[in-house]
Amino acid sequence: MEQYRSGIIFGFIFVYMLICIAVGLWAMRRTRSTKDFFMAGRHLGMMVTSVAVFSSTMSGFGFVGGPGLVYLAGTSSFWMVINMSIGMCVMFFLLGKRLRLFAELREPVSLPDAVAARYNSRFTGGLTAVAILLGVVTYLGVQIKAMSVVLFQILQDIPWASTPLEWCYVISCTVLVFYCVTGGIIASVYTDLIQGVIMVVAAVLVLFTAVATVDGGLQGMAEVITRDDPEAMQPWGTFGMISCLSFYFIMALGVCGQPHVITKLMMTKNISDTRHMLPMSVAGYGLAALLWISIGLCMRAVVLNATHGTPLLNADQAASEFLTYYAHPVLAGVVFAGLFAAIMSTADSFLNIGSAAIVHDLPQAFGMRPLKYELRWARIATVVIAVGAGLLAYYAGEMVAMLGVMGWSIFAIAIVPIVAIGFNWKRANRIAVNTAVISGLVCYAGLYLTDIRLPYNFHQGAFSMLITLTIFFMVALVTPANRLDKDIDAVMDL
Amino acid sequence: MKYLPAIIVLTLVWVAVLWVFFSVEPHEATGRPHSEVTFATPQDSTGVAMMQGGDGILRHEHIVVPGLLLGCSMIAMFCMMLFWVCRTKHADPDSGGYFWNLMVMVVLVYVGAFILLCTTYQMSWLEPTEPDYLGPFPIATSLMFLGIYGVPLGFVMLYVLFFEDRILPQAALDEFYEIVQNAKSNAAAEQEAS
Repeated sequence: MEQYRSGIIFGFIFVYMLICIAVGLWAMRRTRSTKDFFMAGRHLGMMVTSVAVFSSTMSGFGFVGGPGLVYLAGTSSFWMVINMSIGMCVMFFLLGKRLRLFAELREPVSLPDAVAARYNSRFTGGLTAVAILLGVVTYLGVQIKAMSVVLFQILQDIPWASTPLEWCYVISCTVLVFYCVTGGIIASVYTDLIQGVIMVVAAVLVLFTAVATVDGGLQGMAEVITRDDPEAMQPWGTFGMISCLSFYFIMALGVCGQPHVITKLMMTKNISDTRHMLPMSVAGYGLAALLWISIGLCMRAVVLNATHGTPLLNADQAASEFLTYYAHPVLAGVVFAGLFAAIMSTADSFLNIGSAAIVHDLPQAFGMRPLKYELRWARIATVVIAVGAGLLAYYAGEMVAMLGVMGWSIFAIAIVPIVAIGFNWKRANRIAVNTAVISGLVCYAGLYLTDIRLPYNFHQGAFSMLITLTIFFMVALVTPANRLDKDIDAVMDL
Repeated sequence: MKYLPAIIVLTLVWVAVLWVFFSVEPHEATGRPHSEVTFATPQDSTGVAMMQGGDGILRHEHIVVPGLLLGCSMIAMFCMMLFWVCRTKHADPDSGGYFWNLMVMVVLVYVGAFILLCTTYQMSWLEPTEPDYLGPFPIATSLMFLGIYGVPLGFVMLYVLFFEDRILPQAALDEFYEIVQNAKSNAAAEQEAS
């Protein structure tokens, strides 16, 4: 079977992509209006939405970058995973009910739409749309690039299927665009469901494989790593306490600022569905994260005890080396399909919120009338964003990867005060959110682009987030609250 | 007075952050390339592939207290947000005491787990290469999973169990549908008038 490894992996990915296309065609029949395209007509079931929430949260970074970080720095990167229990709690407690109530009251077709209604301000809605678009193009570029590079590497090993990298970009973008254009958010969430299931199955199987790879299982790995460097296996890893705590802060609080995740909270059929979505999303993410932890620890242990042939040239090779040398070809196929699932489930959500920003939110922010054929334009915008992000990823190279890393923090800085706090606090006003968000984004861009290192490697995004929250809170307290529309005012009391 | 808890928590986080920023930062406080060159930078590698932490005491001795304060104040900030949004208009008064007591208990266990994690980590400095294990990992690392990941699951449980009493009571839902109905009829009337 070993000789057919590449073929089996390719087969799994091919079948997976066919399923995505089939879902797109099926969803096309259910997409008749802009509301269907962007909000799934607000008739999604609890299970589908829960899986979509966790699978959009876990991007390709979790499947490739995560194990690599454990290989590089030991337990430090665990802090990027374990934050999700409190992070999801903050998200659901603050937004689960609130966003869904707003969705029913004002029937927004996007998050900036809801923001504009809450603050009675086109500018604040527009600012949210700009922040979303900024994050979407860079983040999406990284996802497309990751997908193309992985596909390229897999096809390289199959003599009859070897394809240039450029064609891998085209194939990746085409599949992604096809199901997003045809089925909009409906296709996106139903593929998320399939993708989420694949991610969980892949992660659980990988855990068992990793445990069987090293003598003594998880404790065996811990002992090997501790013998080499005790700090790498202690809770702060090699990065140290402050660095880990700053990851914890930006990741836990930042999850309720991820527009591609929280938009899904507006799409459920019943308002009280959030009750069961929280435990399901936390459980799903927890299981998918097993892959991150187990591959990273296993690879660090096998390299240190010299079971693995040669040390890795690059920490990001941890996942691919593990799958090549230690996983059964079928498992490798499932995990690679899981990797594509993780990338695509995040990318499709970005395409959807990005096209909403272009055809709906920005025209509204500039006081333009709604477009006549909004659904058609939304489909065109989806293609334009995907092609634009693909070209940016291809031509801008490393710069895109650098900007893509900023994505999570950009979203967190911009959206946590505006939405997570502002939708629960009547005192939050336009001046406070606009000042805080602009200051936070400027601070973060300044720190990140000039590569200023904060003491003890305190995360730049976490520091900027703290500045944003402080400015937001202080300005809101010293400036008068805005007059709210009667219905919004009443709903915020509930 | 209403905003005092938020002001206190935010101030505590800032005090901790500034304390950290003005503490002495030892060389290699955030790790160093692995001492074996073949692991750190194998031939043809483009950057550092594996790092080591080095001496835990040396790199953490100046930030033990501010680090503890930072972690506790962050946890306090997250929990304060949860408490804040649970004060709903139509909440069931009978379950109030029970609910708040359970919430406070989860917070205390959460903070307690973090403090325990920090102290067991410091105890491991005595014999770093032979730590005690709890399950498959050193005690402090297991506490990270059980405490920092596990304890907030208590909030998840409370969210599910008290959803109808505290998060979205039936009375709130009824009032909401009334608001929606009024908003729709107002909008229709406005449209007719225009």
